[in-house]
Amino acid sequence: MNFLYKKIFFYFSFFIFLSFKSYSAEVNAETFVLKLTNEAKLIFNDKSLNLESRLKKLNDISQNYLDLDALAGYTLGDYRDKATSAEKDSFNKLFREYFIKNMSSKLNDFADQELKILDSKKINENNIIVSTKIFSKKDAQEINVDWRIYSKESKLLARDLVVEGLSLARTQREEFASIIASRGFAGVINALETFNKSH
Amino acid sequence: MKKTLLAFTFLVLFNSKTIYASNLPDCSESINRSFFAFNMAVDKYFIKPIAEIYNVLPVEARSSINNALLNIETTISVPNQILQGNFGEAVISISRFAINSTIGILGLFDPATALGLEKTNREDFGQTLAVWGIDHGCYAVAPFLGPTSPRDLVGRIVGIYGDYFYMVTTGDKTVLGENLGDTVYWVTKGTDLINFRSQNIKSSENLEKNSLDLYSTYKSLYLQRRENLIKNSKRAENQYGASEDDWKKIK
Repeated sequence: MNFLYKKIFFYFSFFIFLSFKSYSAEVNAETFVLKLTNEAKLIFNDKSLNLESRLKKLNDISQNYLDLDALAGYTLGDYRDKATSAEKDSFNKLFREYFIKNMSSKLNDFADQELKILDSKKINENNIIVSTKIFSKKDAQEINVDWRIYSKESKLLARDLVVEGLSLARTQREEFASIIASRGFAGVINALETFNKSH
Repeated sequence: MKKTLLAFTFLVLFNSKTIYASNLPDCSESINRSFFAFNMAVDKYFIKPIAEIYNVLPVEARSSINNALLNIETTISVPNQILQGNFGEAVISISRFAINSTIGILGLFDPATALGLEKTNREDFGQTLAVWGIDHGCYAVAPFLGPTSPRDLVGRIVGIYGDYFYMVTTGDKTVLGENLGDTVYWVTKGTDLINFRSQNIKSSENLEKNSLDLYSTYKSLYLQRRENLIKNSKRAENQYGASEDDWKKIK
């Protein structure tokens, strides 16, 4: 009988331990999103920054908060396995610059909006989805934004934004796939170079 | 003969193979790209300028118009909620419609939500066909209508003739002994288009500025949106499924 109690106590403690571990991972991910958005807002609201300084600061944020190499790999889709390491290096470098310039333009409109954390859910061992709502007083609009947060060796990094159910990573991947199908991988490199030079 | 032709067309349009939306075949891409360019020009010179003027209206006015348009859309959603077997949602939709059309003054206000009747999912006949297991068919862009597929195009056509609002305006049915007339129908549909466009001005400008291939960006967004509508998913959960395997490959 005593053995049975011990066994029940062990399983109960183990369950509590696992639940707490999972719960704390989700709380950490929520705090991470708040920190990321607050730091980004400071940059967008700092009117003294010129475009070059803003991009530099965003690049610094991206090093600490975004998993851009993973995102680059994901957006390459099926071509990821065919690309040589030289091609991947070249693509990753161009993609990073493209992404930061792209985000700088996209997020500028959201700088004055309020973000509220709704909840978070661990969907598998390394991925947590943090659900947020962004409020725009000016347009009287509410936008649902979900953040895919990847945890690796206790470090958290954002991998994707899903705005009203539309994944930015998936949209980007399908855009690259279309270019690869019509103009090959060189077409993607060329398109990224052209964009980066003109923005 | 007509029936055989119709059945044949149906089979050609909806091949039986299950296709995941992101891999949907673009059977007539060059024609689609031409229609896409045409639609973008129509938008640039006609629709967007009107939407920009519409945005000058106070937020409260636009919000009320949006409420009224959503209320009218209930006449499309309810039959499709029933056809999809969502009877509970249909009852809520009908209750919301009754409350908002009367107390809410023709749907301009939304007292139903305040009374605890939350908004239900928007349904159309294209979604119903998808729930019934009919595949998209090839991706297509229709002039003036934009991104679509044979399934959604059939859904739109059936949806017009099966819409109670169409019947009591352009059709020969009456509501409270009156037919509301063609003008009410076309003004409502025109306002709906401008209202939708006005809500997406910033995001579409961003896409135009930052996309490397605008055509495929719109294609991807359209397909993701349709997937979400069919699965009644508003958040990221719809993205876990197929894309999750790809994410797992990334270390």
